[in-house]
Amino acid sequence: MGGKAALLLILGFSTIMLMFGLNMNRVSTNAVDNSSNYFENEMAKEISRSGINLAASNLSRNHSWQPSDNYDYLGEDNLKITVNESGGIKTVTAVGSYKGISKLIEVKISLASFSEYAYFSNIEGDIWWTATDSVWGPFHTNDKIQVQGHPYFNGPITSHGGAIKYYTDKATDEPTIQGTYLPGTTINIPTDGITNLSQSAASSGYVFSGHSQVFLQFDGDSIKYKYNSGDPYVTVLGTDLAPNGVIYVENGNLRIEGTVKGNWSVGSNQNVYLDNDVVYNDVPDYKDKNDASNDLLGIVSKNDVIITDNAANSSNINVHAAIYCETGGFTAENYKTRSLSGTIHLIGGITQYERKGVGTFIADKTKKIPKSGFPVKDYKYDNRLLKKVPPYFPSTNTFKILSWLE
Amino acid sequence: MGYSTLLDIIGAMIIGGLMILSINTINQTASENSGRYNSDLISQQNLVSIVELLEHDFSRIGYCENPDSILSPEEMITYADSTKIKFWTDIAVSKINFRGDGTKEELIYELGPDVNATPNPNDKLLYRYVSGTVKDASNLGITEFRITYFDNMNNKLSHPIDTKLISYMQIDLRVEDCYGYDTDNSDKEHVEKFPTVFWRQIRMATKNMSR
Repeated sequence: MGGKAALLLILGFSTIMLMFGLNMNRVSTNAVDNSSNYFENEMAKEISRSGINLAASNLSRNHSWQPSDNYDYLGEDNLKITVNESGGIKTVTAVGSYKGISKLIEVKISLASFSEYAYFSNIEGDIWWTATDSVWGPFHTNDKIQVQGHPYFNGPITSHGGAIKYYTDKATDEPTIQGTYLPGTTINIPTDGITNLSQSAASSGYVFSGHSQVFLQFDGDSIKYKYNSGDPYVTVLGTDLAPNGVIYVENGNLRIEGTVKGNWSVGSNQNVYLDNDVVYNDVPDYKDKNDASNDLLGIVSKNDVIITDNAANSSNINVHAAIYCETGGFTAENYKTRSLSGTIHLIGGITQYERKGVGTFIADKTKKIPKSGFPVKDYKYDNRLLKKVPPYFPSTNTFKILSWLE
Repeated sequence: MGYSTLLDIIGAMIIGGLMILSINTINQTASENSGRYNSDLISQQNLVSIVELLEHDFSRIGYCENPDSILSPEEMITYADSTKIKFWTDIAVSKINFRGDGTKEELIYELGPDVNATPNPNDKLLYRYVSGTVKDASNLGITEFRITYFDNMNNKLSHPIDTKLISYMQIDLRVEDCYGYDTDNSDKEHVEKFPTVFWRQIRMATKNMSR
């Protein structure tokens, strides 16, 4: 009897201890499961991110790249990439799988245009961004950003070297940057941006050739042109002259002025001169990227875009346009010797190979004393350029991310 | 009944008593360990749930399914302090369809006041709600939710935060068991009573803000 009781007692205790042990094991296992599930989720997500990076890298080299079959990333066939295009927007999707868990990342990208930049330069030269300078909108330089006395940048900034060059030291000169700062980014100005414009002008725009200079005046729906300053203007309906909105001067300088209505790109494989104000008929609220104004102008020059030294430009100039200088820069004619000409009021953006001067100052330890040209720059970025592009404006050949979903 | 029987009975009582004491001790230890492990597990599971939700939402700052409604990076976050953040996003249509409906919403994360109904004196509610709707939350034992902001030069932003300067965030999250174990025992430290887990996201930079 005593033996049976002892046996039952031992069996009972063993059962209780076993159940207790199982429970403890379950809790421990669940804790590990919890941790490993999180890890597996993250791994699947990282594989998807790798897929997006892989696609972006290939698309940057070949814009029509399509992924092959599934990829192997830490497993077999555990990364699938698809690239679809609709309305100029590419949708890149990557599905990464790890231990039975799948994660999808979807990124929308589109080709970026130089018109999106508030300021772009390849070479900054010996010109410094100073305390009175501010840039609103996307900024890029393939050179160093040279700063003196806390200039202000509002918008995403990218630069090639990543180095910010301080005039004195960081404490005295560090810029305020409101926006993303991505050093180590190179965006080359193409050598054929102007060629693409000339081809589109030849196909369904208008090409002026055989003239050393062409005077073009925007006048609402009409466009007036002539070949010599003393000639009378020939007036035509803009849409009849260039249905696709592109006007190009082959082997001659283009001289423009007037009031722009509609979407236009004008260019020359030499220089473009601004003989007077070039303004929009419906001036947009430059801060509003969704402004309803449908007027948009791109000025594309192989060399320089130059503010003419004339009576019309002797007291301020208004320019509403996205400006592109493929091998030159935006400058003022005789800026070192012309009389003080007031302020450049720009609504748009400037892309230039080399930063050039528009005025000079007398050096002074405490302040800048204007000496010649345009001492004051009132550059306002037209936020519509984040979404709208003047017809056939040169592309950066790089993709920009519109949205990233994961 | 002789002496030997009496000795047997006394011996049996002593042995039985020792066994009962041992069983009681084992029971107490087992209960305590079981309670502690379960508390740990609950805290850890709560933490992972919150982290997954945070990572999901914060990675979508500035996202919108409709490309025409996509915001500029400096417009994406509308308010920021150490325990509250408001940002624009396009919330997933459903659990299955994780894309948005193309309409942006202002999502708010906000650390609420202490919850007095639980033994843990530090647990708080973390509200997640769309602007204009009623804020509601479950108590998952959050005792710390702190966001630190950095600009694009990696400088820590001071308060009040200028939302346009935000480039990176550091998120600290601490979760404790709401009910704990042996909470009336004054000899035990707080961390002994309430199992704690901690998570830190260092330099979170959402892709939509890095455009």
